[in-house]
Amino acid sequence: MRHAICLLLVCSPAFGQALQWPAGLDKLAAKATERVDIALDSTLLQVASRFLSAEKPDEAAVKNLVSGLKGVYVKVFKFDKEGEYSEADLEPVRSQVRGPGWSKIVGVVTRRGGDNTEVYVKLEGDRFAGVAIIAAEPKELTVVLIDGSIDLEQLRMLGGHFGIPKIEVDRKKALKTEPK
Amino acid sequence: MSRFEDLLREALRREEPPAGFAGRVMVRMGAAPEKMSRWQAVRRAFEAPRLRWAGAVGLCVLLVGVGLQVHRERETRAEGELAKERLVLALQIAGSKLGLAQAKVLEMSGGRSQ
Amino acid sequence: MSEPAVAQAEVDRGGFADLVREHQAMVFSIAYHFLHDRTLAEEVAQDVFLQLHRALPALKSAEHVTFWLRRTTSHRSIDYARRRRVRQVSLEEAPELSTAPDPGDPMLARRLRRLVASLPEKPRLVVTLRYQEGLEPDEIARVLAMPVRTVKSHLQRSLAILRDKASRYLRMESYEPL
Repeated sequence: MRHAICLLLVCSPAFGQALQWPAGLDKLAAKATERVDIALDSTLLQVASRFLSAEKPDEAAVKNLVSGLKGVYVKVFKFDKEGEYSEADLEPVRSQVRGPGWSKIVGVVTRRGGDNTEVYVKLEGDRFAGVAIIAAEPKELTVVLIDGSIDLEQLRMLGGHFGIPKIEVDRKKALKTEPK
Repeated sequence: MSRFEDLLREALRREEPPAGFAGRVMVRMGAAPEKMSRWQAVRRAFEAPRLRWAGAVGLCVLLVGVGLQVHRERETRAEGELAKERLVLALQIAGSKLGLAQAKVLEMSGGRSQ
Repeated sequence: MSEPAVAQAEVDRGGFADLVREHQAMVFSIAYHFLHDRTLAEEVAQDVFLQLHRALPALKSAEHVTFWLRRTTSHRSIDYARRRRVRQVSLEEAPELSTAPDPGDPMLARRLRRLVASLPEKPRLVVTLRYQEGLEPDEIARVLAMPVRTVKSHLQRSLAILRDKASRYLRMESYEPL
């Protein structure tokens, strides 16, 4: 079974070492039945932040998280069938987030479900200066790139805010951790 | 209630309007009585025909200007709200995938959840 | 205006502002879930509260105010959509979402709202009042001035449509039967 491949790149020249979206990404978009494509550079982040209320706890949490960010880029592709991606499409992206300054901190593969989640962080000194998340499922591909100073725990906590249920893992799935 | 109805209830839960909503309502309310009394004063002052025409033109210019300003403010607010919505969605997606990865790792390493 | 009348007006305004804040989420959300547009929903909500200010002397109790707001917001939303020719999300456009979801999928709620927005006017309001406001069918019938059996019929058919659209997205083994 081929996995949907997640690509995580930022085309913003302001992002560190100028990560580039691989040429194959547009091809993937053409095959997707549904897409999310969010690109918020520092200007748009400032605009959005002005409309976040410091008086509402959920929005205050986002406002706090965003204060150190320079860019937020998210692409999600959903497909009707499996096999719309190959490892070859993914490799140009992975090679960039394995570059200088980047470290892979999580790699989880779900054998039965065919899910593969990777988390990369960019370190500057002792702080995170960027996060890349690649979540590959057979029919869905999610790529997240966040540029700037980020608190991973705050980001993870947002998964339980705004009415979104916290993640619960299906214990019936067999899990295997991909060796680093 | 079925699970699907729970999901619907969650999706349709109440949300607060954009910040400052109550203030904007009160501003609109406060404008109405003043306009009534001002309108009466303006009518009296512009009973002379020449002034009436000049007043009509001036009023049109003023209304167009105010209308454009309101339109611009609404557009700016709409753009800001859209940017906010997209930011929240982006961070929700990121937080969700991060949480999923962490939960899987925790489960792998002994099944203790936070 | 005399001083006592001015003072009373200030008190009234303060009290009304509190009333707005108390009910703004309800009014805005009914409009938003109907129109699926935040800017338009705020316009409707503002108009409703201005109308409430004029109607307040005739309202007898807090429950009456809530009832009045739900009814007026519902009718205003329909009028607004028709006057502005707000484009309804078509059922065909509302995504099928063929892939199995992450139970914590932040887009699930957005998708469900779009599915609701694709329903015809009256069923859309019935579903909103039922699941946003938690009203029983007889209460919905009073708010919308329609027979209870019509409300129940709208609910039954709308849920079937929404379930059908959503079931291809929701992984059946992860959830109780829909």
